[in-house]
Amino acid sequence: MKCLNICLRKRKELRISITLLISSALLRILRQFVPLGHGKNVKVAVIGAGEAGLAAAYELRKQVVISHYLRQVIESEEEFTPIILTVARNIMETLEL
Amino acid sequence: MRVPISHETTWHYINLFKLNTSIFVNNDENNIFYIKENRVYSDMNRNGVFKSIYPAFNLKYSERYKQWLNLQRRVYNKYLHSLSPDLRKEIIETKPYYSKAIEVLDKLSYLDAYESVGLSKDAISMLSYLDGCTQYLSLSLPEILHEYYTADFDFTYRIAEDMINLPNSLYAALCDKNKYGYTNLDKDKLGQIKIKMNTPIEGIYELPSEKGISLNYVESSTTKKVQEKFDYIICAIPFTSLRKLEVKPAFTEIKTKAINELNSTPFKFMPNSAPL
Repeated sequence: MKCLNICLRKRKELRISITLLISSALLRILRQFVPLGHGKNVKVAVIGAGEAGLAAAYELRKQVVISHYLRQVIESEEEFTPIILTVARNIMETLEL
Repeated sequence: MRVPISHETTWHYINLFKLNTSIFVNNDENNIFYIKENRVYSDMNRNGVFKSIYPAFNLKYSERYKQWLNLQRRVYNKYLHSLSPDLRKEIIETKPYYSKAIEVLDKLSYLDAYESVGLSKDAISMLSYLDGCTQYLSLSLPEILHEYYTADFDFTYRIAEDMINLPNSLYAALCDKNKYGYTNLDKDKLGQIKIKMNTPIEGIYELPSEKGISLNYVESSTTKKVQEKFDYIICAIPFTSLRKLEVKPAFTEIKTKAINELNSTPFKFMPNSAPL
């Protein structure tokens, strides 16, 4: 947590969302596991509607070969926010600010 | 928000949705340093730093006549430029194991690195003011090198108007309201999507009896706790949030360690983790 408080990127501005990169990695992994062209409805949940979650949902939906699959994005916040804000909020909660 | 050119995934979506960007100015010759009650232009040609900032610090003779960027560069020359290209790229790679040279770096803080190139305490202090990194001296050296190596501080852009335009565009594409979203794809063939906002997740559980994963969350409209089964789950939340979720069965020890330690000081190279 200390690192987030003194994050290097704060030198100029807020952190960039590294989770976008994580999302693309997750998608690559998912494609290995999802039985493509299976034919039945498969439910996939994406937790988090930051850039990473929305990008993951976007890419999943684009896959025409798995177009029968149902996807769902679940977000804990009322409005979707960039992931950086979620991180900032978590820090504040932890520090009870 | 700053978008360095090396953040290719972000650029993929910026280009896809044709978002406007503009240059994010990091350094400008008209920037002003205000250090120890001296106010000077950062422009090297004006020699203001030499004339006003240097005398304010008790520098060694060998440090007094060297440009501060050259003093700072000693660290990068010793710890980055001296590495072979193969070793150097390990700094930005996620690997199960790292070379000895990288493991050595991993044990050093930014301050250790400055001291190891023979800079005096006052020189380090001056550089940290000039570089704006006073509070980062305790960070690990790899964390600094990681961004220096990919030129994160040198070529930066910002999304015009606001960074929120990026998630907004993704959301609009999911709702078929963005014309750049799914070009050349038949809208009827796209998958169904349901977005649930204001729905806090409480836990992720693997179902032992049947294939699938169960998700516990609180339904926003009824505030009732719901358990829903999915075939797959993609967790796209920060590790700081993931730590709060109940996950059963628990992640392996090494994965839990990675989740708990990431974003903690000091930065450590984490082993390549398996899918969550």
